[in-house]
Amino acid sequence: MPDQNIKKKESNEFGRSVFLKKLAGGVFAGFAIHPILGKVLYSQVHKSNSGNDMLPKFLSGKDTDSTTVVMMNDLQRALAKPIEQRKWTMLIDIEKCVGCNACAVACIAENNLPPGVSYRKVFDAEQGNYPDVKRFFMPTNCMQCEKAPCIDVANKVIPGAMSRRPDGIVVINYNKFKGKEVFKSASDACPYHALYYDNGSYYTQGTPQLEKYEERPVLEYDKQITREEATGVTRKCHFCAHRLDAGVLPACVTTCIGQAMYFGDANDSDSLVSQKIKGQNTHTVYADEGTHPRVIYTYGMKPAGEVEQTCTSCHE
Amino acid sequence: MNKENKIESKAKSVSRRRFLTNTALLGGTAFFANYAGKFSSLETHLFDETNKVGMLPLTEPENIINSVCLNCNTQCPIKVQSYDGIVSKIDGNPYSPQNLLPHLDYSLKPEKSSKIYGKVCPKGQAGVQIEYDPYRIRKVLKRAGKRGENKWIVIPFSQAVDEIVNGGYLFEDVKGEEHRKVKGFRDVFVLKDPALAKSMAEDVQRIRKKELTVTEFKKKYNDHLDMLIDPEHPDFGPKNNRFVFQAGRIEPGRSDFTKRFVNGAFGSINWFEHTTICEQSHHIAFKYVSAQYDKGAWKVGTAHMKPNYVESEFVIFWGTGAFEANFGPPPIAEQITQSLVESNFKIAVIDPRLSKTAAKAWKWIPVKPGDGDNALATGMIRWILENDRYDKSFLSNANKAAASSKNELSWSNATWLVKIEDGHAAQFLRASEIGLGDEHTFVAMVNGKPTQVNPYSEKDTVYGDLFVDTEINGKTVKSAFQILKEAAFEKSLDEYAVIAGTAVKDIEELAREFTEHGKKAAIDFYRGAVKHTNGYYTGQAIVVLNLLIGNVDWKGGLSAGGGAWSGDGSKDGQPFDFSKLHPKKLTNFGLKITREGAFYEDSTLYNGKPAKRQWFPFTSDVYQEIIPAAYNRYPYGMDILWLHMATPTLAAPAGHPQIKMLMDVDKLPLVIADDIVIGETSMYADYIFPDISYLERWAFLGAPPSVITKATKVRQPAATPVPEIVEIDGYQVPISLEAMMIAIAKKLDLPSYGKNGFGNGIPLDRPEDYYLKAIANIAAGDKAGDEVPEASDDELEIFLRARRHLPKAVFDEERWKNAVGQSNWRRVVYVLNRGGRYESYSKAYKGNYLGHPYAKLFNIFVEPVAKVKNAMTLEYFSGVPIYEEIKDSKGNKVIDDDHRFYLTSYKDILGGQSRTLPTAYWLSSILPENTVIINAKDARELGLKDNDIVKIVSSSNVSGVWPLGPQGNMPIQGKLQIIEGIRPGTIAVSWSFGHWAYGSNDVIINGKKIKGDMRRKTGLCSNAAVMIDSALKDVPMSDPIGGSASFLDSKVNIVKV
Repeated sequence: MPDQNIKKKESNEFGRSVFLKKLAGGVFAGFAIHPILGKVLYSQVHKSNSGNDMLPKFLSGKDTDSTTVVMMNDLQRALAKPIEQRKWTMLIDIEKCVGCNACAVACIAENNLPPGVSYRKVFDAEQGNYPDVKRFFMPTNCMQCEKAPCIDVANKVIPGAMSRRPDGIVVINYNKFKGKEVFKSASDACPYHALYYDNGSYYTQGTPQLEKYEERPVLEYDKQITREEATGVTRKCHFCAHRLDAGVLPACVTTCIGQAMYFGDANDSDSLVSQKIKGQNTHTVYADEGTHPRVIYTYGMKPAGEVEQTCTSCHE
Repeated sequence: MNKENKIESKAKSVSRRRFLTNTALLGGTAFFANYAGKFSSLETHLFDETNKVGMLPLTEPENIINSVCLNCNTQCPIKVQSYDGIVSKIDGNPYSPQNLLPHLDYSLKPEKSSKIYGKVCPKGQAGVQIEYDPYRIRKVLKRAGKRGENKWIVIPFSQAVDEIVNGGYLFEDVKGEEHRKVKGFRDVFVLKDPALAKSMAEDVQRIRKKELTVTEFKKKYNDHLDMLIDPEHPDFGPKNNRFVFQAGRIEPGRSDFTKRFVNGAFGSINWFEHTTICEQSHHIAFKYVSAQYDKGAWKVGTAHMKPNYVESEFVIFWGTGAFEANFGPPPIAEQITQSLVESNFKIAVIDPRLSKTAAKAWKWIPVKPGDGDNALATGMIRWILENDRYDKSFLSNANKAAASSKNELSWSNATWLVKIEDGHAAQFLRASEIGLGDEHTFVAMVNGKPTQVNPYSEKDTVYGDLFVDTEINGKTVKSAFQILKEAAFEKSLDEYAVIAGTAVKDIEELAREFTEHGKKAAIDFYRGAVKHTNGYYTGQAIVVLNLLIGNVDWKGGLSAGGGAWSGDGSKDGQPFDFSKLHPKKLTNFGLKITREGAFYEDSTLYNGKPAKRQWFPFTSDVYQEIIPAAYNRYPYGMDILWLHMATPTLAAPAGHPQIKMLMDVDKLPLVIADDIVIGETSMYADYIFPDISYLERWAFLGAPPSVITKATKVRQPAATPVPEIVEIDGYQVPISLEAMMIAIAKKLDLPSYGKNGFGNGIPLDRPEDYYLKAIANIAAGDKAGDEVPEASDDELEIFLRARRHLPKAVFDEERWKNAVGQSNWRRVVYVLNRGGRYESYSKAYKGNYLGHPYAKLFNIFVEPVAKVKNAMTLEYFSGVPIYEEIKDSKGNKVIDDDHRFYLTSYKDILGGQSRTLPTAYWLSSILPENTVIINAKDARELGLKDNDIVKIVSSSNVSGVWPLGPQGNMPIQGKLQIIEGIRPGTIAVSWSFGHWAYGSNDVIINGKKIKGDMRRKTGLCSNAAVMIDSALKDVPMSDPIGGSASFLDSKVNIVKV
């Protein structure tokens, strides 16, 4: 695993764990801030392409739409195409991630996830020595890999346990993918620790009252799933497929207060996510594993070298 | 993809099995929340079986109610989505400028906006678990043992109201209280005659102005002296004042409703909210720097201004940030991150801890706590003046005309002349004193010539000289700017740097950058800068720094916010003017128990000597002082304390002495609380009434100044209430704060409740009778033509369908319509469908200015403060910001060399101050506990390791414990966390943990033990380690001008356990 250089700590203030990497000589090379372009108007960045009257153009004086509305319009265009022509892609800008965990909680709420299952994680990493200290926030979830190692491993144990949708979403068959053994095999194969085992517990068990919201059925992979049906199942992020199919963005995307999340169809060069990928230097985590994830990262408008250096200082 | 067939849900049997197991624990008493039944399957929710691109039930307009979050004071508008009548998901309301940038057009129909999600922080997302907290109470609890013993019985609401109104031997079953007769509301409600109250109030004012003596007053009111708390001190007010309403978190809407009861109906002056343990000195600094002068009197201005972040080039976050707290992450974060990536923009952060905001800063200044912020601010003023880097043009505009001529909208009194008498700068020179004009105009030098200044003149431009130090007609005068300079130059930059714990180079770089961007720079400051004994002066210094670059009202500069539509009905054409809807309103008068808003020298207690406890003439809501004041009977004691959503024992720094006070049945004879759980302070009450949560109730409020367009947010019932439904006077309502007040008022026959509660036959029987009228006012707008459209038929249908899950006790179309009248109803529905009223983003700017400028006078020198002396030291306050060491209430410098660390606190975005964590398990799954954060170097020197259990001790709390009373002592201890991103010599502990109640402890109800949840018992709250004021001995140190409790001046040691 490429994390042998990372000292992993159990630490609560910073999310799940704090990674500390002491660079050679204990000196940290600071980042230079590059002044960009002057003040960029939203309209230059977020040109809205809405021709669909379900989402009319929202005039705001500057003729602009919020990033959310722009991406919803992108979604509409993608849904008008056959499913195999859509290539769902998530771009995360860690310069804009503020480490708040709204995405993590939104995901739990949206999918009514039980204890121990949390599709989305945000890591909080500190680097350097006082007073030259840096701190980064790193959200992560299932990357819907084009060459997902979990699929082969899981299907070897239980045929038909996993598959991949034509639009890229990696699918778990809840009827089949049950049991701790197959979970462990698949989980070990995933470089991104994206799989979770649902042990059937509830947050409010052991308290005076088991609360009703915990029993709410949810839609996952086109099926209605109750808590009982999910017990023993391996679970993961599915890009909120139930929302995508209905023309709504994933929960983590819409609640991101730093607006760090870009999502859409990478096959559409007009989509915001495509424009952002084209306009920034991106990084794929553990690219040499050959998984071809559909979740990619960027770091503001920083130059490629700086992006690589920052990312690989934790992930080599 | 194959479509699955309908799945027979087996959930029913499973959930019922689990449910029964849990009710057995309750023993069937069911005083906690109680739900029956199962969920219907998704198939019944508009799920289109034939087309996999189906609808999402949560996004259907009929399953959405737009309301307002309350998990922090940003109070974001939220889209509350329900499934089968159970709140299931909460997101930002896309109509709200706080939650979508830019927000949706207000006219967009609900069926178009239902699928568009706004953003909200993790606390907002976790609201489902706040709502459905297994430890929520639904029936009234009365204590069965002594206070704090955690023994309760359930009693009917009507019986509880009866007891607290009529009083009596309420606790004769409790050992030691068999013969204790308790005064109820009826006994305290002594002065009932509005004419008498008004007359007495006016005469008390005359006593204060020395126009009437106490003897003359007593003679005039000879037959009514028994109505006064103390006839020798008529300025204390009537006995009604011995009822004290102490609110922790309360907000506009509820504050209006409760003030109507406390002040206007019951006639008590003692209504409080929590502001001085929050940020009060920040507000007082702003209020006085932005105060206006009107016919000889200064009227305070606005409490709060913020940078126009998204258009700025450089923002300093001082003792606050953009991503964790402040006002708040949803409106602010994106403006910062967007600008960081796409614009020529950078930020600096001043904070002992490398906060999440500091993580993205160009410069992080780990300032020393204590007096470090004050020194840094004063040092910056010094550097800017010394290096001539201030906006001379802006500052020399002495009045409105001068400002306009230079395309400025605001101006300052920098050039006005102040008289120096006996070495003290106390008052502005008036034009009348040197024959230049009347007594309400001022004087500035113009090229050395004294010139009259009318601050608001629109034609007589006055450009004053900035530095003046001279004599006129034998009077020594200096310009305000001169006095500012002299104060800033008291110390050298080197000295300021040492006190601030920074390098001189850092101060220079920060000040240089701040003055490098014209008006497109601003400083945003909050609690870190002002929760010190010198907090007001530090706040004033920072506001002045903003003025030095003349950034007010400019795009990218400082904004007072976009304003709001008012709900009080005072504008022309608004249907319900609440000031005229209060029959037989009492004039409340006297002295607030905290001596706030009052001048010691004007009171009958003044004897020329220092006061026994502090007086706070300039501020309000001195929360840390309320219970101690009553306990010390200074100025008088209390008969009834009502705690609303309040937890001073936990939330006030050094609030733990109040635990002992609360347990004293002689000093505090009747303590009632309304709360949604048995909380850390409500556990010491005599009665706890269940309150409705924020998802079950009403409010109407404006937005913080981080919102630069006009906005009024409306909170409305979105969830079925958990508290039981009771009957008051034939009306069924859930138990709540409002229900309590209505019930008490009716029992006391108060004229402003009931069938004719609003006068003219207009009833006030139910909460919505009040709140809906305010919303009708908001819907009508501020003038003719400003009303919102009427809701169409399909909007009305969505409105009704969306409330189908609410019980009749909460929602009834006819009743709601009658509350506002047919002619207003559809406009009210329009507003409610959108969760408020929100101006278009296109109104944010007007050319290079903010669309809603403040456009008024600003005060470099604050005259009302300069005229007054500290009541406990009898020394003058200063009109300009000064450097001041940390001092106790007697004015003694606080030096503590025996303790190594400054204790600091902060809020993680996952937690509210004392609610949300660890109650909401979704949040605590991410952050199960907080820690004691320490710098790696300090840890090494002390031989401490990560995860060591450590205790915090201070000079005021040598053993480092919370003295909880019958529950025992709880150590102030937790796990150590070692990081690099904190200043050495400082430790930090976040809020939200260290609970000892709130479902974390075992309680006994009706003889049965209800076990606490150990997941809620994690972490620590550091407040009990905060230093107690050495002079007063039972409260923290405070800022005498702003009233802020000191949170960040204390020194502590940490001890490995």
